[in-house]
Amino acid sequence: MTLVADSPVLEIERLTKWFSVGGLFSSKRLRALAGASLALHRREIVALVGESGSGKSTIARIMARLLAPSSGRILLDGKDVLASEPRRASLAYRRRIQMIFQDPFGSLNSVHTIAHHLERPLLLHGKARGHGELHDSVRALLATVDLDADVAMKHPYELSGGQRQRVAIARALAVDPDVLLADEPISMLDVSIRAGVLNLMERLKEERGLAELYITHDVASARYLADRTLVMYAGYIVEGAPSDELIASPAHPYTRTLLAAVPDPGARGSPASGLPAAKGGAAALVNPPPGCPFASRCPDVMEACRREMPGVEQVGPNHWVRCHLVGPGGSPSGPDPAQGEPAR
Amino acid sequence: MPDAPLLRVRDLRVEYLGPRGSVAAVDGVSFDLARGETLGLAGESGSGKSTIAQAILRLLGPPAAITGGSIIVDGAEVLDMSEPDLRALRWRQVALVFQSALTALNPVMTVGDQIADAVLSHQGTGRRRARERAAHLLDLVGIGTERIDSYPHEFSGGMRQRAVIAIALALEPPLLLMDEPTTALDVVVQREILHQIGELKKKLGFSILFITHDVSLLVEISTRVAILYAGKLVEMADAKELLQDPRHPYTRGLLASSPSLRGPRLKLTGIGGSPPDMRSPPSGCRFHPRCPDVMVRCSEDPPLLTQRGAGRSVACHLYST
Repeated sequence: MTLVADSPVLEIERLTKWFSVGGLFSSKRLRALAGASLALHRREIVALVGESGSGKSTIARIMARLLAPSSGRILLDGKDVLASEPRRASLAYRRRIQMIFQDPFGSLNSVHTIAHHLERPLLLHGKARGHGELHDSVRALLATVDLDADVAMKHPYELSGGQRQRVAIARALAVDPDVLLADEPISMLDVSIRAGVLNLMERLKEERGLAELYITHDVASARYLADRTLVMYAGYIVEGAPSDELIASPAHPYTRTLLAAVPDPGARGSPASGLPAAKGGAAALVNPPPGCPFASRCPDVMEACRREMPGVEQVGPNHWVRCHLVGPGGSPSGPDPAQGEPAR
Repeated sequence: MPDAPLLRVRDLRVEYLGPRGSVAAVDGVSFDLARGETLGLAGESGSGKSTIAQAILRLLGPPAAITGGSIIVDGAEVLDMSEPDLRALRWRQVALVFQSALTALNPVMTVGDQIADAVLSHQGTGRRRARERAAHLLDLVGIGTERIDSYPHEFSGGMRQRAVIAIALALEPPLLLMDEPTTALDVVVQREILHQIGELKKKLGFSILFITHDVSLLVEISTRVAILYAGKLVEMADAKELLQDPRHPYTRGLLASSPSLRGPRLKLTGIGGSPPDMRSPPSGCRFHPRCPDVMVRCSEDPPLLTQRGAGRSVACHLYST
């Protein structure tokens, strides 16, 4: 651990996002994000884990500026980009922050060759000029993601899912980004090729010093890949810790429930043993009640939980949680120094 | 014959007939499922695992066709059955639970009516008896009878999957085919559903053919596990033995592809290459282009699934003498 804390490349502060749902005459509002903060540093992978609807993809889409937040700040190198470029992200922002998606079938255009997919960002961002330079850059990009050079002349439908996801990563790398946002990059791939994509993401961190946000519902893969893991529940990031520490000593009841539910045949005896006490349905996102969203399912719920969402409480070095069982935490309306801010 | 298996599949072959020749999606698959057993069938996309489930119920339509083998359910040959026989087989003896519970349910009918319909269409009971049965089944799967007049859209994903299981259980069939029943669900809900299935199995004593791509899940819930690769079974073993001592290089690779939650953080190797194009499957052993232990004969001579010790079969030349 180095003593000098390097400042984050990309940071979000207290992001909220409300969506309008329902018909023409009933305007209901859905709370997708309820004040989420996190920071990404160079040469670091942060995993964001949560169930579907918890808001993890919304965070990535806001960070990629595909979606505008209802409130909150996005800081690139400490500068508030929503203030400096409020409408549309600048070309420079889009060069530095790249995103890959879950579906490698939907993210490539079936009428164009792989070379075309990789040449476009190179030309658009002025990374290569002339035919020879383009050709070399495309070959180099394919080599970086462990694809043969002859893939360049193929069309997406000629590739397997794993190869397509590698092409999507190569396309993101074409513009030499600082941050890679990966939204469930392996969940649609066959099991045997998932490890290859995870190992590639790890290598890109090591070799290129990329800051990566790895969004997943699979805690085991988060632990495998990420230096830090953040757990989301119903729009809140409820716990954050170094990945191994989070698995070893989870502090939030939801994190414990989640960990107990993961199939782990090596560690478990009989089927369905160790069932956690999770009850009730999903949290209400439309007209959410006050308090902690996990209160309706929490085995350890207290009166305070239904009144107010607790602030951030530090439970160890780099390990924090938002849970009344641990403490009231810092004022939820004040600054959140601990949210995703490790002492490095 | 009390010891005869509930389900016996022998040399099953299913082909998809296309304009440029046929593709054997299932190629010579044989296995038994004993009464009360949970057999797990694992494989990646294109391995033929869902095709096997649909073949057992004769649900395959063109371009797919069963072109060989035998499927015996409770002593009767499914491939010889007439339409009325098949109607009796489906639901009454074998029920199928799909992955996508949302599309399996009718959106404009209450859940109670859908369960009652399944009962009515197969049993000569009255509407009132059928509704009582529906209420009982909803209670059984943990939904609660008060939701009998709810529509599917009022249910969460987990509740919909429970409702689908309730429909499958309507006639108390001895065999349930479950094709990725929890894949679309979050892990916490998945755990609840699996627990519920385990409880129901204890209570009702049915057998399960559980199909999934998630080997760690399968090993946890199954008595025996069969591993499928490119339409062929490559290994079959007791679930715990398979986990502790996988023999086929593909099984080993598959187990080394998923990170574990606890224990040392080992570097995952995965399996190199990609799953084969089934239009032109590799010669010899279909896994040979990706196999780390490949030998000369592997590309020429397809290995047969051979018994290697008690309850263990492997199709690999590494173990032939």
